[in-house]
Amino acid sequence: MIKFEGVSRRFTNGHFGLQNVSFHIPEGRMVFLTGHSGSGKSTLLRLIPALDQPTSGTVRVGGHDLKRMRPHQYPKLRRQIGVVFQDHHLLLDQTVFNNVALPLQVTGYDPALIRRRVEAALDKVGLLHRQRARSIELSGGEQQRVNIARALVNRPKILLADEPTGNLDPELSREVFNQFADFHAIGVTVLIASHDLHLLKTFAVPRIVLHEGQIARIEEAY
Amino acid sequence: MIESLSALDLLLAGGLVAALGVVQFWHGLQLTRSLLMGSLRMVAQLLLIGYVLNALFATESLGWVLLMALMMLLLASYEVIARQKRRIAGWQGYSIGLLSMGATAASITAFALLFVVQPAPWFTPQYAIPLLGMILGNTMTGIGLALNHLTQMAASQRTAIEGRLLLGQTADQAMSGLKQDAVRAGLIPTLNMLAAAGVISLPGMMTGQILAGAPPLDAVRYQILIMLLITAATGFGGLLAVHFGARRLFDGRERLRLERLAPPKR
Repeated sequence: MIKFEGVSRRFTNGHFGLQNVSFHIPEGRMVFLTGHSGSGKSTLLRLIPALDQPTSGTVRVGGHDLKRMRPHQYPKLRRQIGVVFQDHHLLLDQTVFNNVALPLQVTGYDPALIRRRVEAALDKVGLLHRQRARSIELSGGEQQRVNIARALVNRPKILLADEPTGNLDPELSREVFNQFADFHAIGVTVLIASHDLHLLKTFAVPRIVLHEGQIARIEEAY
Repeated sequence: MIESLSALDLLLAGGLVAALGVVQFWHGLQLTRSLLMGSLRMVAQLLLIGYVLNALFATESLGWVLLMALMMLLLASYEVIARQKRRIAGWQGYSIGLLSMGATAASITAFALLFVVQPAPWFTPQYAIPLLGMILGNTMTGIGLALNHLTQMAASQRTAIEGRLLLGQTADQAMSGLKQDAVRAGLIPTLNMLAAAGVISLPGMMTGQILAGAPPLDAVRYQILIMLLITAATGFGGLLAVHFGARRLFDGRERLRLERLAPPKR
């Protein structure tokens, strides 16, 4: 589902964000990406939805070589990928419902279908009762759950998360990871970048460990 | 008939600016040098253009008028980009300014000459050059403001724009709100000008015509024409520049390419 072949990303200042990175995450797997700050986790995640492109090497997502796609295919690809970032990019002046509905409105779905899907996604993250609240009125943990609902409302095939629990206390962090595990259980391919080793070790999930832009090791689940 | 001004008359007016310079110097404002240089530069530029226009009006040649128009256009497109805080790097930045102004200011001036003012011949430099100058000057300000807003906002709102791309929006959809704001920012001086005309300020061209002895209502009609042309040129110019500018910020893979902006000016 996600395949990196000798991928390097060199920035304009000459610094390598990633250097000769190769790995393969088959469909339906859940994998953690870990490493210190600056090890290349975010750089790697940005390559998967083609927000950035490698300087050399090949990134394949769902069988597509991201370099060889046509322009109109990129938005379609991104709709198949749910992304959860630490800074949630919610539209704070909009209601919870509108925030979660946004990815579906982009694709022009029927309003009744949008309502059903949004309510189901909010129910899944335990926020159905807050759908009319403005996002700014929510706590950090609730905002992150809205972000997760928004990432999943399009029923993506892949879920990417970049430090999704950075602002949350340990209990909420665990809850968020449990939700990711639930989505993995229904067949979504999940890749989560986090440096919270304590939390990661409580899940039997393989880990790709990055160090200074290179893969230091790949640890199998135990 | 206009009262001619002698060099002594201008020196008297210059004396006022010199007095201002002295007062500024006493107050330690360190502006005296800028004031002096700015005033001298203004005098030199206006004298130069005076001689150029004198020669141009005498020739009545289409080639010379077009050459003058092209030079004005090139200088304006340079100024548009040079004043940006985060300009679009490379020749593309200049070409966006040139294209937007060429397509609007130049064509609207040609339209006004051919169908509204209708001097004979249509390119009579006495009409063509001042008309183009006024339209170009205002369009340049509008396009400059619009592009400045666009590039600065794109840089500061990168995460929000990429967030929208990640939700599956196209580059056009992700930039739509920002593009509207940029077009609005470019039109604000024009809207202010329209609101203030005749009430808060007497427009320069109209005042000039009245000083030159034209009947006030004739001067007003010309001023209305100029303002309508400026509004159209600035509006269309802003739309075009923002459209091209936003396109330059993305590549064929619908990715935001902020490295296409030059580093911020201090």
